[in-house]
Amino acid sequence: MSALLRNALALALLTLHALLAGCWDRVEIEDRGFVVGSAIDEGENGTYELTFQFVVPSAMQGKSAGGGHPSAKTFQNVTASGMTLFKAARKMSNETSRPPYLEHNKIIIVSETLARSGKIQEVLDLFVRDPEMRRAAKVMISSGQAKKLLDIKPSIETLPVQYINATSENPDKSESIVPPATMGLVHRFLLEDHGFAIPEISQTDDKVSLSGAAVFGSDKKMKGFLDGEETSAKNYFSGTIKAGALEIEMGDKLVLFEVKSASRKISAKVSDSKAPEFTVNVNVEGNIGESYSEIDLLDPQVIREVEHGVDEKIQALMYGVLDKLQKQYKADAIGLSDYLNENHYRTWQKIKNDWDRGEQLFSKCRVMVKVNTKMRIIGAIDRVRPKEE
Amino acid sequence: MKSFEYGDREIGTTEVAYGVSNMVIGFGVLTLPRSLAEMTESSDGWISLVLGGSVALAFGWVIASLCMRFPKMGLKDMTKAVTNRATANVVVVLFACYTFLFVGYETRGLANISKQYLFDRTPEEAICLFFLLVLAYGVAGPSSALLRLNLIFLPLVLLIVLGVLAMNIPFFNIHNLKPLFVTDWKNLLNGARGTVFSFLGFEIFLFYNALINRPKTMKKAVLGGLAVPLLTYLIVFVFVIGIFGSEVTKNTLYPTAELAKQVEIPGGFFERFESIFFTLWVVTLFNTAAMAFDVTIIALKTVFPKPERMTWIIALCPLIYLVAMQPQGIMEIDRFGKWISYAGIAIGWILPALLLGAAKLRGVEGNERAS
Repeated sequence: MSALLRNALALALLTLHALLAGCWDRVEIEDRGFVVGSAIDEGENGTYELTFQFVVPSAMQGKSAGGGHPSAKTFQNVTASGMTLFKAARKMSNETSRPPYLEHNKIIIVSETLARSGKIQEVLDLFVRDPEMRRAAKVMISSGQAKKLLDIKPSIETLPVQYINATSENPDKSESIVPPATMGLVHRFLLEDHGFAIPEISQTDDKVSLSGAAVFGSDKKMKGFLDGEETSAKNYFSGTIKAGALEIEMGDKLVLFEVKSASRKISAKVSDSKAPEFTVNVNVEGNIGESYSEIDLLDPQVIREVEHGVDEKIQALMYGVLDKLQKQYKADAIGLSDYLNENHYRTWQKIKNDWDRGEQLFSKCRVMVKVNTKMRIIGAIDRVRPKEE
Repeated sequence: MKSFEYGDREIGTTEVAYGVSNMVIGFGVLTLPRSLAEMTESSDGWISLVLGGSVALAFGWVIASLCMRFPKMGLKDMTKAVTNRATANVVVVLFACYTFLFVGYETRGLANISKQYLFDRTPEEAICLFFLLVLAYGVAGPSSALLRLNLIFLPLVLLIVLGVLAMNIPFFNIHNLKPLFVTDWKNLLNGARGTVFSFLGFEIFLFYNALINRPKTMKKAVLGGLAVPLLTYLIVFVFVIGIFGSEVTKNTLYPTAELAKQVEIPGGFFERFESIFFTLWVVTLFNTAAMAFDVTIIALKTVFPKPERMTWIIALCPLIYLVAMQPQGIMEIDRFGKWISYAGIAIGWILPALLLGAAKLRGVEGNERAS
């Protein structure tokens, strides 16, 4: 083979290489419409109304550099409807210059109406099936219309979704937020045989509130909302309290008890599988955060009284939510069925179809709540009010 | 230690151990948690896994014993020593068919998962083609080079798997593992049967035996090499159940891949961590497939010594491609894999066990026992 021919062949092969090794899946980053949040509402005639929040990168740049277009909107919400969500998402490509790309979708808001009609399984299928989606996306149930929540104008964060996302991370400071329900976790709820709770999201003016929870039965239909206080009681049951604050009355003046940590332990008697009896022990530790009362917090007797007051307060809260779940919602969102499944597997297998369906054993079972509070610190001072003579 | 250790074309104990591990760790890491969770309750799958692993270890012992009995001999010479030339040829050709189909299956399986998680729009045909081209390049060199490559790849793969698990620790919920010991023994055995397939692959060392320079350490190497995948599978399974729970694992096609997907590293740059996971995982599949391909060629060359190695590679590649393209859709790929696994157990495990039994009965041994 002559040198020339060999060189020509090498050149041809090199050219071929360039042609062959092209990246089939290349999409320029400028051509992607980054979706950061989605909302799903019920449309007309049984359709779904899907809203995606797209980031407007140029406006984001301006925001972060402190200049650019200060008035430009950092996001764009696009809504489309269809009998299936996939179809609706495809329709969006007709309306936006950049087709939706969901790898960075952080939040999925489902409207209350859809959740109540038991459509949550249908609605969320796409979000776990599509390999482009992430299991870490957070699911929330909106009271009222879902897509309106994506229109909020946040003042601290640049995007509504960032605002909602950051707020949902606050269970460390607030006892009335249930821990975020990621898509992966919800997938599990939907597959397993028990009730569950998902954070509720609601709107007042330009603010969102994540206090509260939506309760689902094992039929995967939403039964109703728990308000902030009930949610914190639910969190005591589930052992997901990270922090909290309780106002108790000491001699008709308020004392605030700050919960620093709480743990719960369930035990059950299942000798009669049709009527299991539960005892929920809650251990709480915390400080005095504020005191308007003249009581002497250095007196061990008084401390015991405060502790006792906290015990009763938490107990009352817990019995309150228990009553609501057992009588009104008939849905076990406090993890008793999980406890049975984990520790009394045979019994659970026998009664799982009659737990919150059929014979409604959950509504009938007896639950005892015992709270034990330990106060650690009273703060830097004893009181700000002189002792009354 | 020799002054120039890798100058020859032989392989030592380390290469064998790493080769066994790398050959065995393959699709199992991705699919095993699901098939185990399907057949067992709660987290009981680990019992099945240990049972299945013990079976694999037993056959590992058989194959290592066979190799030690006939040092420096390949499967053909072993079979010939115990039976006769004709039988040996049949056995070797059967073995070659098995490894040949195995390469096709690996290629297709890889293309299938890559398409799902990495390249949404690249046709599977193209992924298969490029993978095969790289495979052909890989096997063009000597076998010892291929086996030494394992020393680089295996640590990387283990590192990434452990890395994915470590980053998922915050999601781990010990309650998901409960209740313990609730599956009846029938389902446990069923599950064990499924896990045995995930340990297939090390039987190719029946051929590489000809290259091994210290046959005495063979048992240690094979059993040690098998312990690594067994441990890896155990840890991965426990983590997958601890993170997803049994129900989700049952309903997720590739639970381990989903684990990689939910990793979130602060900073945004590594948000798509699974792409790194898959890249490294493709590397181990490459080595698995390349070794199987290599063994196919070695086997065929012992029966038909005339054609050159390159000729075999060029002749086999299109055939592998055709085999890889046969299954339509994921169910058929699964069924294809199952049939190959049955073939592998028959040809790669049970047959050597019979050989070992016959050799012991008739007192046949390799000629250079000591080395």
